[in-house]
Amino acid sequence: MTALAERRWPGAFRHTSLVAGGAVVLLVALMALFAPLVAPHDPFLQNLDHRLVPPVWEAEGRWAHPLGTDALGRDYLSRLVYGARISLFIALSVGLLSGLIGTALGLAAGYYGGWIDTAMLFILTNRLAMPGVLITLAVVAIVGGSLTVVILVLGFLNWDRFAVVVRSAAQREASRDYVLAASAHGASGFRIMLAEILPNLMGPLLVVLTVEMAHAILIEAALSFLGLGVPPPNPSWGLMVNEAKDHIFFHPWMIFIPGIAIFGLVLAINLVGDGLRDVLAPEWRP
Amino acid sequence: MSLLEIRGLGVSAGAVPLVRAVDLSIARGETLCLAGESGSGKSLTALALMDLLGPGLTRRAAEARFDGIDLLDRGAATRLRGDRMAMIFQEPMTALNPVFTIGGQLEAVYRRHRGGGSAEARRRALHLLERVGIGAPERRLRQFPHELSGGLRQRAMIAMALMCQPDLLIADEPTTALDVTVQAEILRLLKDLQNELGLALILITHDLGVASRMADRCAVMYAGEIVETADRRTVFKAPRHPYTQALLRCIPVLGDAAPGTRLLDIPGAMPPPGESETGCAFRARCTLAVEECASTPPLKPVAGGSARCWFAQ
Amino acid sequence: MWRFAARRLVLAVLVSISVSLICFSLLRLSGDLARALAGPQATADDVVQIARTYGLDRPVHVQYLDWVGRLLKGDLGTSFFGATPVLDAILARAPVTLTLAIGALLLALAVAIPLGVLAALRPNTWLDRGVAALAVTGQAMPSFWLGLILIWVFGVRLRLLPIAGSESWRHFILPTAVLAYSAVPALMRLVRAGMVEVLASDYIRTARAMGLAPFAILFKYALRNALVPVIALAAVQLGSLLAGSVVIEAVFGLNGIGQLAWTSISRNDFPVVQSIVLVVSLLYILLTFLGDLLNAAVDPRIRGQA
Repeated sequence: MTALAERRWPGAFRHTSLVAGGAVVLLVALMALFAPLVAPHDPFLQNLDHRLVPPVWEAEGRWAHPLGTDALGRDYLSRLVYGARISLFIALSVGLLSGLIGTALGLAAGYYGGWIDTAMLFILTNRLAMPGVLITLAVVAIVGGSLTVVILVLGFLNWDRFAVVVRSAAQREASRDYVLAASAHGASGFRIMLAEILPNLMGPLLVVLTVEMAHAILIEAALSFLGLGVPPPNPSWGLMVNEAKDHIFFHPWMIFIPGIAIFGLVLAINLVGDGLRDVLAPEWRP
Repeated sequence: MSLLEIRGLGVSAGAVPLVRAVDLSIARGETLCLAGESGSGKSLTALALMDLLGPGLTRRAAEARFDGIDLLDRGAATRLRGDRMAMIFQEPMTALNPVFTIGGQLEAVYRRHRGGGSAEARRRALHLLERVGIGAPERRLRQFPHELSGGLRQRAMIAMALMCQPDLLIADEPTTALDVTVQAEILRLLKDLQNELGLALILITHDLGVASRMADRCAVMYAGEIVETADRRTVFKAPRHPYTQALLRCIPVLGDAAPGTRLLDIPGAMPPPGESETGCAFRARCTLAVEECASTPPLKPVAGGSARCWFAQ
Repeated sequence: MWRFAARRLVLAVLVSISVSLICFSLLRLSGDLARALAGPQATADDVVQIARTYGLDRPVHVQYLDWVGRLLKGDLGTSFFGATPVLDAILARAPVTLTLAIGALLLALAVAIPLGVLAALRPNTWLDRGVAALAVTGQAMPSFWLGLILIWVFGVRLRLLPIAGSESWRHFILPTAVLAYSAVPALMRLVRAGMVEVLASDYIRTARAMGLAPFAILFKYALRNALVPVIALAAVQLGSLLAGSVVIEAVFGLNGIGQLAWTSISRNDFPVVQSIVLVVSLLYILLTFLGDLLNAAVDPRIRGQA
């Protein structure tokens, strides 16, 4: 990680959006990790006597349910807290899966060039031409919705940005002296790609990872909102918005709260990504 | 009367002075070479003159007049640019807009200052392209910059600068980015055009060889100041300022020296901007430096020009 | 220029073919299609019967060629529900989706270009930071949520705009705005970055040196240079806006292709699903092709590239 260590890490802490975003992400992560301790109730526990209780700041609100309850009497705050687990888990798994696929393709295309590169670009063009959302919906409909399915489908569809970035970075590195030296020492292609080139791409990779993580959270929320993502009774934030939309007239807070959570987390991750980009890949600064 | 009269020109980046106390004048038809090494402030001086400084840079001058017109008046300066004063730059590869045709760009300059229809502008563009030595000008008019070589692009730039028949052309290192063979052609072209059109030329260069071929007068710059001005003979035969003298000594002369002789250079480096506020900027590297040099020498008139040195006669 | 167009056309055709192959196999990935169609209660005989009816017992490449053959004649198959030709169903709903997507793109450009230019002219001022903040929030906002919030504000509380349906032009205001909001950030950033780079370029300095009018330099020259990558992005955005309209149409109850996709996906109406995916993909390929052509028309350097 020598390349990273040489970059200006101390400057990162002065970068306000990186710090602010990072703090929020950390907070949500801790909340998700310690959900059983943070959440006041069981998120799946229905209580039909206390349905649609508004949050504390409303007239009929109660502190027992700080953010109110949903249509089945489940505590909203608890569902929100456990929902963070789903969002973060999906963000990480999809990010890593698509990152793996995209990086592998990009490295091969960038390092070997030639027909491998042409083939990869052709695959990429095909992937970009097809509507990812529709395909995801279709697959989920056929196979059935679950956390695993969503992660697999999103992971296998969202590798394009990784591939593009890794490819151009690998192309740049492939002509550098240290690669030629390793090759002269008899190192195999695989070894060169993994041990020499890849460590130098960590910076840009991290930035893309944050982008794709935020992206994954938004897509999962949209899928669950449409009823074709994480199935009920799971407390996916998108699903919570879906369940809330029928109550838009009298209980608008039910829509606001999970939406703010999604927006806030995605915004925080984006800010972290922007901050990382300024530190690790400033040439991308728009 | 001189065409261009500049006194006390200075350029600063915030509080840091980059160019100081520059006096320049040029007569009609004259060639003035502004010579100096990289970072001496020659390009900045020219840009300041033309009011083309980038953001963060400010200029001031005691006086700046072009044919009597006040150059410090930004509106007047904008009207003069491209019309009576023109400038060409060092990098022909990037100086032309890539998404417009050569003809389009040339004609735009003409129509801006002379009005008139596109037919007239086109005729003028064709005439000038041919004049600067570009073959098949009708075809070139319709081409885009990336279809021309570096040398051709620089010629097109010269044509563009001449569209409105300016009285003064400022050329900022016009040949530095070109092949050596093309360099000589471009310089010859500039000289020819000058003689034919009565053009005054300010030629900015770091190459003393170029200066010796082209200049009527030379102004040598160092660390943002003019250290010597002189006519061509004086500068090369009997320079007054130690820096100019040292520069000339560094030029290797074929045949004169015995094999194994060291190439001369001037020890040390030019001080960065802001470092030499008072005193002679060259004193750290000057063999003649004494205590007096700690106070800034004025630009003193000497035979053949002027020099900024206590020792100059 | 024509050589460039021909090269691009060949690529588009190749990609179309491979996309059709992928579409074709997508449906058959879920295992035995005949069994899936027959349903869970079907007997073995039922499955065989279904296979014969839909031609699923023939060799795969025969099925594919047959499908492509019918496609080229405009026959996209018939829906399982109601026996309407799929092509008709799609065409009937296309106007709504196209209005939405094109309207959103135009609105996004109308917002992104001026703001991007302004931000580039006043870098690092409050204006620039405000524009950047707008971009950052736009990228983080889930569109379905924004849609619901706006429905609540304008439809429920203020009662200014209708809540659902697609009868009048007023029904399109909110959905177009929401869709545009998701496209603005990327476009705006690109415009700003492009303008900043162009304004610092040598050729703009030349334009200034030649005394061209500042207004002309900004709008006739600099903007033209900066917009080159924006055109490419806009074409791509149109494609993703078309796909993204699924969510918006669901939120606002618009009867477009997205809605059709969603309904047919929910009830496993395979011919419709397959056709929609194919049509949207082909449309995207067409848009990218047109975008490339437009790009080459504006920036002559591109014409020489592969």
